[in-house]
Amino acid sequence: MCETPTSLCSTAHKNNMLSALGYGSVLAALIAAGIMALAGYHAGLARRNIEFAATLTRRAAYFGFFAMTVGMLVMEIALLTHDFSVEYVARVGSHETPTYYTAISLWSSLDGSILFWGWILAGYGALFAFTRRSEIDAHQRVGGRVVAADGGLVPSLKTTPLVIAVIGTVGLFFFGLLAGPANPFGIVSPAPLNGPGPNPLLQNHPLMGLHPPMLYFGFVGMTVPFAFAIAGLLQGNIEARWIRDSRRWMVAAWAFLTMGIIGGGWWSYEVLGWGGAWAWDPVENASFLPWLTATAFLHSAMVQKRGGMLKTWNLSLMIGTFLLTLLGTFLTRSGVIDSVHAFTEGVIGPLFLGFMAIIALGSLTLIGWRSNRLYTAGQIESPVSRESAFILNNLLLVGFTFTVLLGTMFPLLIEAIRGDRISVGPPYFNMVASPIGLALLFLMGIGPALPWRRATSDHIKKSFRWPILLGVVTAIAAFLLGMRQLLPTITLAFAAFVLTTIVQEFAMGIKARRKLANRSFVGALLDLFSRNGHRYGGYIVHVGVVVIALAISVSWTWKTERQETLRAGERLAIEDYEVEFVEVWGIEEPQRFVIGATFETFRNGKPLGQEQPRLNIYHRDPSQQTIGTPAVRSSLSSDLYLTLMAIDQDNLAHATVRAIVNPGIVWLWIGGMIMGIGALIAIWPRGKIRVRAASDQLLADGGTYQLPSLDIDSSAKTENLERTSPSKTEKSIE
Amino acid sequence: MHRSTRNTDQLPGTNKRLHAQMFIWALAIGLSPAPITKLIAQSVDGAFDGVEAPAPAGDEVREAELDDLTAQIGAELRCPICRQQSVAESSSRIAREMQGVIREMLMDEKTPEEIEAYFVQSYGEWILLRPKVQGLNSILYVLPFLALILALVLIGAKIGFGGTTGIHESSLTVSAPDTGSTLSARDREWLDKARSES
Amino acid sequence: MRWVLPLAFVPMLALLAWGLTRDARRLPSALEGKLAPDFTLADLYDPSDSVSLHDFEGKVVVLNFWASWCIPCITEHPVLVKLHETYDPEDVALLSVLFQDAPENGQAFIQDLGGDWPMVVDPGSHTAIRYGVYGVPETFFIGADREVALRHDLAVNWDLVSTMVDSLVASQGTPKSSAIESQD
Repeated sequence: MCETPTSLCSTAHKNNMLSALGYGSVLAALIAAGIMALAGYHAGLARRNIEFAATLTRRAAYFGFFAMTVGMLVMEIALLTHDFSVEYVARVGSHETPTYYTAISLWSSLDGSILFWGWILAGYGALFAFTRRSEIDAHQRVGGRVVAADGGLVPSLKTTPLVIAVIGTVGLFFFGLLAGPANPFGIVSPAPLNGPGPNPLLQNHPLMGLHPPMLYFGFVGMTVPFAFAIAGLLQGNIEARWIRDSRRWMVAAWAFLTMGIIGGGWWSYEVLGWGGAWAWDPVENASFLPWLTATAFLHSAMVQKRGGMLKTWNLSLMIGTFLLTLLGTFLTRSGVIDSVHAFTEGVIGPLFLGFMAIIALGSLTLIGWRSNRLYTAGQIESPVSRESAFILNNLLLVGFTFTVLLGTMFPLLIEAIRGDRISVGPPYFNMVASPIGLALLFLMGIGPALPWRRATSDHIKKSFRWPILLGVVTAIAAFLLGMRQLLPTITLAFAAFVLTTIVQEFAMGIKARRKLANRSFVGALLDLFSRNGHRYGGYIVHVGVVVIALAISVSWTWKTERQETLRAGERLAIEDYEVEFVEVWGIEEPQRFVIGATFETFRNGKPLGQEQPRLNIYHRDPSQQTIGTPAVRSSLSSDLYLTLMAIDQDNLAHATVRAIVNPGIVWLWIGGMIMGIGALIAIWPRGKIRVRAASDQLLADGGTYQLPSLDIDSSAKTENLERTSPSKTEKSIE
Repeated sequence: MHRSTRNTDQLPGTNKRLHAQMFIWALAIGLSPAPITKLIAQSVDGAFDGVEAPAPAGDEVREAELDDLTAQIGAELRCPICRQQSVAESSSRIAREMQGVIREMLMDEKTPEEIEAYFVQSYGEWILLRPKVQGLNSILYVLPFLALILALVLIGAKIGFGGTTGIHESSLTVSAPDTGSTLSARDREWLDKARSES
Repeated sequence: MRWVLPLAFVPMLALLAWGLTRDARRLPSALEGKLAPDFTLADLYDPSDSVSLHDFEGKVVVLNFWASWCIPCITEHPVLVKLHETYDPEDVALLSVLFQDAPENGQAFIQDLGGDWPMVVDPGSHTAIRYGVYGVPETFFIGADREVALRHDLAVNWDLVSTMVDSLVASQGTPKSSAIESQD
């Protein structure tokens, strides 16, 4: 049966080998996932044959990745050669689509995106196995037999296979989907001669090649910390190395997710034509929720690392983040909530729901069963301490999560109870997000400046003197310069507060480093990053967040818009820009018909160049809808954003254009990149991990004193801890 | 190697005053969104309380006022076909036509509430982007605050607002030697091995 | 505290399961069970001529919003033709309103596909907005008592049309004398 009504179907059978090969590789991956799970659980929980099972687990992870890579390549080949006998290609491919968009249509929709997800999952499993490959060898070198020699050794040997086993279990679900209801390699016979091409919205901008992969690397990456959590629960043991390792994977996944979300905002801004980057769309929210809980984890993990507290809370966060990831993908694929992203897939929706239920109930049971064994004596000594700040941070972030989740689910809830359909949109979400966002912004300036355990009032005075001063001065300066709106003024003051704190931290760290190790300024800075990457990289991330907060505040408050119908030579004036209509034109491209209007743009009288907002109609789009492409002229101070609303179809004599001036919005993307750089600094691999593990081990078990770190490369000198201020002591330990 | 200075005389649980302070401090911060929210709602999203129909002043001034008010009202109405976008933002034809209707009604001296009610009458409650605070909808506005307070209470209880916390210790992890100010022999051995391997 | 996150998922999963049982994209009509708003619109062919809803007082009215660029409208048009031919215009009136389209396009559409019942244009979509129309085609089945019995937001088929019209004709009571709702 033909897939597309408008194409002639070929009676000649196309080569089905690609389909068979692709499907076979999916099956192979499924089997590999099964072995990962079985062997991994055995190695982690049983007492005999551990090395063999652990090695098997690792090999299965490698093989699974290999199989999925083959499957991916097969699908790409099928797409690029326009092999319409393969079902997925028949649904999203077309001869007219440019090569770049054909290549990235792998993840554009439906089964292809599940294939992509599965490949990434297999990749994470293999990568994890690879990073732990020398573990077993180390044990064999030590004793040959796996004995309970040292608390730091045996559990980790069993942790790795357990983590892989959990990844394999998740893989069973996704590969199972691929082998069954979401099979992209199905055979279409007779194969059609052409396909409808990808969704027009997904062909309009090259960013589509970046946003979904980043997002998926983030989403799928959350599986690894989740696997750590389950592994820890199964073992009944959370050791120091566990929290450090799981945190690293979480930071990596978090970094990708951050890039994915901001990239999505950027895509939305450049493509959708309404001049905004975030609409609180249900699927957008669903990607934001795991980001919030992951951010909460990044902070509370530090509390655990320092004092062994909050173990079950962190476990909860890891599991919750993973569940929220599943929720996000469920919402996208099930059509339960109407969204611009959603596409329904029949039986896939209920299957996802079932999987989520199993994971949720399973982890609940595990936590209930095991959490008593994980309880550690820990005390928040003082409300004015970094622990308290981090707990407050968690409170706000989880509260934010809950609020956004409530708003997203609320229409569904009301419909279930009352039968009425209501909407919860940006006005509501902006209203609740603003105070929480501001509170978090403010907290970012407090937490890092407070020491662990407790702060003396002297310390508080010294640490906060300048930040508060500069914050207040900034607010006053803004007022004097004419700013009268409350929200941006507060944001600006908080931003100054936070940035001063961060600069202070860097200054203190650099000074200490120079005095101690006699380094130059730049050398000291680099030292800070390499020795305390988590901390100082984290500060860079905070800088990025401040930049984003400022960008949001400025562009939201001072965005202006004008719409006019112009004849040739007429101008529209907005802010310090002018837009002059030149002409309307139309171009026939292989995959679409493009109608555009040319405008000359000016700023403060000086010509900037031409801009051409467009309207596109894709030939093979069954609904033949008009997809607008805005023209965006960016600068550091503001963006001029032009959308073509309508044209005079008879004489092409005039065009209706909407011009938006978006001040400072470029800084949103810049802030995102700063966050990415900070995250990169934080997870950059350093050779001192193994040595620190021992001291952390003792720390994590409730030890309250701090050991010096031992430098491998600097002749194993222990550092002198004769310092006066308690806040400087722990700097070297991080 | 030595301990950092820590006042071991100060046992946990005796600092109830500090804990109480912290609790109140956190509660104040937690509840502050409430008045700030109202402030923000009025200053930014333009709540309709107290907004009157524009005065029949000079033409240009009136035009600009009408534009602003149309945009304000439009921002609260959902474009019927574009999911989460508002009528003010959307470039679709129905949104522009709805804006036209809003503007005409404004020139007809209708109040924003009346305009809003007109659209609800035509399309249903879902045309509003921010649910009206009535009946079950109030859950949306109240629940976040309730959850916040509940969380604060739970945190306060857990942190020891009222005494010592739990005494269970993990049975498998190595317990921290309270007196050892040096690494134990076992740890040193492990460290040496690790160092030689890296 | 540790229970919070996973535990909060359980009622949410139940809600989502329920959510799977219906189609989120279709929006409900606010007019069902209410009186159909009156309107006066210009004829598609003769701008000086106008048609109002109250012209059809006492009859069952099938009100159809359509456009020439709308593909399901092409599919459903034969059904409307059949409706017009099957029922007595004294009992059942069919009225088509052009939506977001130029009159010339509408005329060309009718020329191709036929149909000679009252057709009007709705510039600025005032009437469409009053009726909560969010796309085309949309068809309103209005009883003789001016009450909207059903709003169908997909292309109509003959089964639906005949069932609705038959039941509305059968339940026809005495038309209300002052039931006309003035246009807002």
